Amino acid sequence: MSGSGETPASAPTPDDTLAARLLDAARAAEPGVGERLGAYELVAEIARGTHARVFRARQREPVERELAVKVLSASSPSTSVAARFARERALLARIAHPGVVPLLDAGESGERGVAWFAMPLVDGLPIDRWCSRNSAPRAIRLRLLEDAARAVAAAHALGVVHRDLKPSNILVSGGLADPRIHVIDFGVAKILGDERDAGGDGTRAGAVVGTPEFMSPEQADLDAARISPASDVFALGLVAYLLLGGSVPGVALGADSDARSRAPVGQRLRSAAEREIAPISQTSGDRSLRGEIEWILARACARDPASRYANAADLADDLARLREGRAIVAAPRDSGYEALHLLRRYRAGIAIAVAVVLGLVGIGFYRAEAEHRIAEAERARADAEQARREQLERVLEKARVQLEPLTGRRAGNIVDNQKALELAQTLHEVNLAALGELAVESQQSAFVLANAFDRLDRHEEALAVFQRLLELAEPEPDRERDRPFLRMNVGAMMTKIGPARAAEAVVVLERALGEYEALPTRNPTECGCLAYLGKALDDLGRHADARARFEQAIACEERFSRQGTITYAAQIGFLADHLRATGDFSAARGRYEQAIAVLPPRASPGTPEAAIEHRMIADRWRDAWTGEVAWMSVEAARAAGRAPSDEVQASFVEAVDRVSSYDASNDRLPRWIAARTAQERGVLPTRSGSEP
Amino acid sequence: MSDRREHFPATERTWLHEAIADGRRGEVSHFIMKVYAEPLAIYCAATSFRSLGDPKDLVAGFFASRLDDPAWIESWAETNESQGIRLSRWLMNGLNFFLHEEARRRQRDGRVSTDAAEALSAAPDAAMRAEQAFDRSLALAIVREAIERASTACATAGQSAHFEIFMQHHGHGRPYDSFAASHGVDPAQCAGMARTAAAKFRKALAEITAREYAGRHLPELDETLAELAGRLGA
Repeated sequence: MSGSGETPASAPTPDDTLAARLLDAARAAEPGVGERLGAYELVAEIARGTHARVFRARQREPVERELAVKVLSASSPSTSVAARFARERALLARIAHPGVVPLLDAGESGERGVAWFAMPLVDGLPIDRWCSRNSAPRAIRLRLLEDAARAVAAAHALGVVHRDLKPSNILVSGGLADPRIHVIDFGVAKILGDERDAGGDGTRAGAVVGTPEFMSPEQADLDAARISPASDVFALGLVAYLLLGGSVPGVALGADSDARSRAPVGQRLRSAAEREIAPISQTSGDRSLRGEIEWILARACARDPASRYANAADLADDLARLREGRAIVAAPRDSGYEALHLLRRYRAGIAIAVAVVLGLVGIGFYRAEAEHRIAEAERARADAEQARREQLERVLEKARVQLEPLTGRRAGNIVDNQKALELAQTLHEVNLAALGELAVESQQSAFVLANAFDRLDRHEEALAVFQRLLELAEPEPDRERDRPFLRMNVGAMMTKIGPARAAEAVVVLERALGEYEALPTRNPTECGCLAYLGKALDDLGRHADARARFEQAIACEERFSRQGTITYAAQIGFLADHLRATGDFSAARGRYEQAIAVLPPRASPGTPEAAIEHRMIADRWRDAWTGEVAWMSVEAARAAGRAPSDEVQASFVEAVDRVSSYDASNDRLPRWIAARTAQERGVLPTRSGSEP
Repeated sequence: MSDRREHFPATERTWLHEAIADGRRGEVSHFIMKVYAEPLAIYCAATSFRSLGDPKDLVAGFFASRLDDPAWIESWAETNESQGIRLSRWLMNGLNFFLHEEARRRQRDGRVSTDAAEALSAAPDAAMRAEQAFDRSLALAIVREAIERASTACATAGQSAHFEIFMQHHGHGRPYDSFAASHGVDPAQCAGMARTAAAKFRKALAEITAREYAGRHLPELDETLAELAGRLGA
């Protein structure tokens, strides 16, 4: 602005008719970046298909996080496409597996009911690119294939065939030490036994579904009736060819996907249907792939579906056997493999048997026992790993169920503090298990958790969480704005715990204030820091210092022009509490009345949903301050040996009842109830009288 | 402090906070002046405050007195967050305060005798009409700004023809086949080009209308567009 009142120049203003027509055109256009759908703001487009687009999106409440939102294109008028989109949403809601990106929320927006659904945002790469970028060794590649097969197996277990498995639909996140698989895009999945798959849902017989280069022969023949879980097994086998041998059979080396996708679909399908799958050691020229890996891939990519693994679980099991050194089931029956495998696996034991014959019984027994223990330990480790994965799945499932309310628009209005704590604990548990403590999501959920503890007056637990968050923020150079805020919360919790930690709180809060002052842009949360400092100083008996801090807190709110906010009212109320506690009733009463005047009207059925929780906080303060004013009047009457007015008595009784009804642990209540009891016992005259 | 249910102010960053944190405060002021100056002047002209002087000058004075203070506009963000008050309402209320102050100041100085403040509060119908005039003008200003942004976005992408086609067809109601040849394309291609420009126009509307909110209460765009259309006299 720079002091100038000049208005910037702009184009001529349109007339009403032109503006109305253009607004109509905009309403008919596709939703895009910058818009909100449901609870999600679309931030960037990350993928686009024929009928749908995927956006990176941001959710602001109840926790701020990023996720992916898939939106059905408005220009896809076909009801079959819409039905398929709806089916994908339903499928994702059913498949609960850590390797399948789950459905978080879904809805329809706008007048035209644009369909969308939200999923976690996967920060991953297609499996082939991830392996190349990380120079993943073969063992890791095999493990990723096994994990991918397990994820697909979860769909197969529900009678769902993915039908478009390819590297770009199998994402990997994390590093070499902790890679995680995410199978995405069930947009063309088939439900076995569902009659709609025979026609009418956009994937009818004769329709091209999937990507020809990764299709099984039966899928490339467009023979929908023969599609089965074994079709997905074939596609996984081709992905394995690419990861382990560097190429997909029947797809020209070096041909980029754009060039391939420009070729006529009919030609691509014919190539897929007719291709011969040679052993991987031949296609890659890598003889080290001969044997078990080659047999597994040959079984996965058999031309006849009946000769393949029946489903992805069987493929995953064989990959697990390979990893654990057990005999795989894909080995040719007449190869003598099982005997050789047994020999290799138990060669130490066989040597011992020879040793027994040679009379070396003692040593041999010891070695056999050791081998046995190692094998047992390996099995136990595998079982433990499986148990851990199942445990994680259970936690995730529980979280999805419990967190469902958090994905709705009403989430900001949770007023059941115990429920809020349970949700916060679950959310944090999931984040820790899935992402680790250092992830932004985990720190955000820790913050939510700490606040939930605080609301239930579990200040010690809240303090522990805030302290940990502060520890994590301390060494980070770019978190200078977070540190004073977190430190303030640490100090606040110490203050709330009580006088025992007041001295410690003063040190922490003064340090936080110093940090606030050093920030290039001042932050209104520092006003809260001043108020807590005032309370801690009061607890230490330093009342003059405390009063100065409370007054600074109010001035601080005014400096940020926050008059009229409930935070401002609270600051005045804190000063009033201080004045009341130090016996200055007259000043306290004036401040309480000033604070009450700032509060918004009491929550009513007409209050907008988004403001309900806010209003409830204001109402609780109003009750407390109204009660304090009445209490002081009652005390003043008692001191003068007179009865308070009927109005004051009624106001006092109502305040005690109100506050007792929702906050039995409020520390104002004992004082109030004592005054009321004294009145009821006749310490005060009961006739009406004028207030002093 | 003995009431233990304190409200922690939200720390989330909004477009406004981001602009201020990134040192783009001038951009915020520029946007507000560009889109809201005319509607506010029209509002002012529709009230008895018009007797204080040229509405455009009064609005310029209002901007000069308020927009230099970052805390003033940041306090809107908090009010939006807690009470859902939109930027346009915040500015209108702010202008009202400013005009009251101005009226009182002039009365005090004896420069002009006016009971404008009382007149306004005594005439709710007039206040409502002023608000309606403001809303209509704001809808037009938003469409104007969106036209400008979409036109620029299309030109930057080498799609000026797309935008022209969009305006001819959607704005002026001309069928594609009546002008497709003049652009060297067929009507089907015209429709595709218009769709591209319409998407940019919608995006511009989304950007502009999102600034009515500090972040928490952003409605779905289709609701906002329907509301804007409802304010027009067409």
